[in-house]
Amino acid sequence: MGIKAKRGFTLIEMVIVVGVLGFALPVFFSIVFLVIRQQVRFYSLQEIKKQGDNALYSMKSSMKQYGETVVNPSVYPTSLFPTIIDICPVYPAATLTPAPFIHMFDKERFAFSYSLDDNKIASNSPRNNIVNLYLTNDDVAISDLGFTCYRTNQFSPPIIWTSFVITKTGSGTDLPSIRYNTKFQLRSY
Amino acid sequence: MSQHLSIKQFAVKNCKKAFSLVETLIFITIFSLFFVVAASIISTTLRITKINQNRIQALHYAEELNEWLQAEKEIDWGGLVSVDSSVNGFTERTTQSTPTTSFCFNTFPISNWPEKGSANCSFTLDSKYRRIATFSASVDPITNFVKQVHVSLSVDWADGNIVYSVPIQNTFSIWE
Repeated sequence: MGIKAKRGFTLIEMVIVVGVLGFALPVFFSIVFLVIRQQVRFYSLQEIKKQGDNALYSMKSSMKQYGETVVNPSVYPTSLFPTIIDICPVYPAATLTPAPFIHMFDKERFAFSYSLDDNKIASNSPRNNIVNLYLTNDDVAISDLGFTCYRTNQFSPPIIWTSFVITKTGSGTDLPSIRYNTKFQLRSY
Repeated sequence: MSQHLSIKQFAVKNCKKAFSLVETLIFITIFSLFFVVAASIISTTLRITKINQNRIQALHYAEELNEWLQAEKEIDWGGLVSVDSSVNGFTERTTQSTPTTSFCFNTFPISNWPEKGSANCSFTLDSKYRRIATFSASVDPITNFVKQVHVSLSVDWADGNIVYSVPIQNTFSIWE
């Protein structure tokens, strides 16, 4: 009969709707992406702080409680039966250059050490059958691990300086990282 | 006739009416409210997340200072109250002023004791934080030796006009 039953949207209506959607959706998704990214960064920071604290606490408590002498492993053929010579200089003599490892002996002449291995902090104690016990896992990467020591006088226990940077592993350029830097005095001396 | 009526009925039935002004206003109001609430929720979420990120870093700085002070205490406790600003041990350093002595530890890593006073401590640690330690000592009135040193550590940062803070309290004594 020539009467149209239904009428579709006009071009103007369609252009306006598509324009509004084209503006709103990118804004919406960019905000959602920003929120997610901040949350991920927050959880990453939590993770690296947890692992950094654990690694530092583990090293510090073991060295402080059991460590007696700091030695240079390159001087001896084996860390099991070396001649034990403490290498920590007496202040004000220049402190040793920080090394990415520390080798120590406890009171019973058992050797133990901490070193950087495959971006993880590895603990070793041959007499206790501990070989490369990692204090951190693959979720984080350790870099700039450094140990040095000195003593305030000839008869005082060594003071150990420890520092490292812990970074969340993964892709991206804005990975969170925390630098640890601490010193402590050995008790068993 | 019947055909004419049926066409009219058909036209009336399919007649489309535009939205009224009231309907449009109600729709826009509800729509705007939804977006305002959503925007405020997102904004609050982002702000809280950022505060929590800063809090983790601030807590790390506070714990680092706490450990450094613990080491300083173990290396040389001293035991005496500072006289004429003498600074030979932990207790003498931390009793240079009465009743409290403050320090601004804004260097990283901490290498040595700064000058006493925290009045000019600005947010220069990591370009965002400031780290203040305030010490108060309890002295044995008979022997005049320091029994305990109480420390309040505070790592602060500013976000706009609001200053956030992560406090840590600790007590050092020779018997530990």
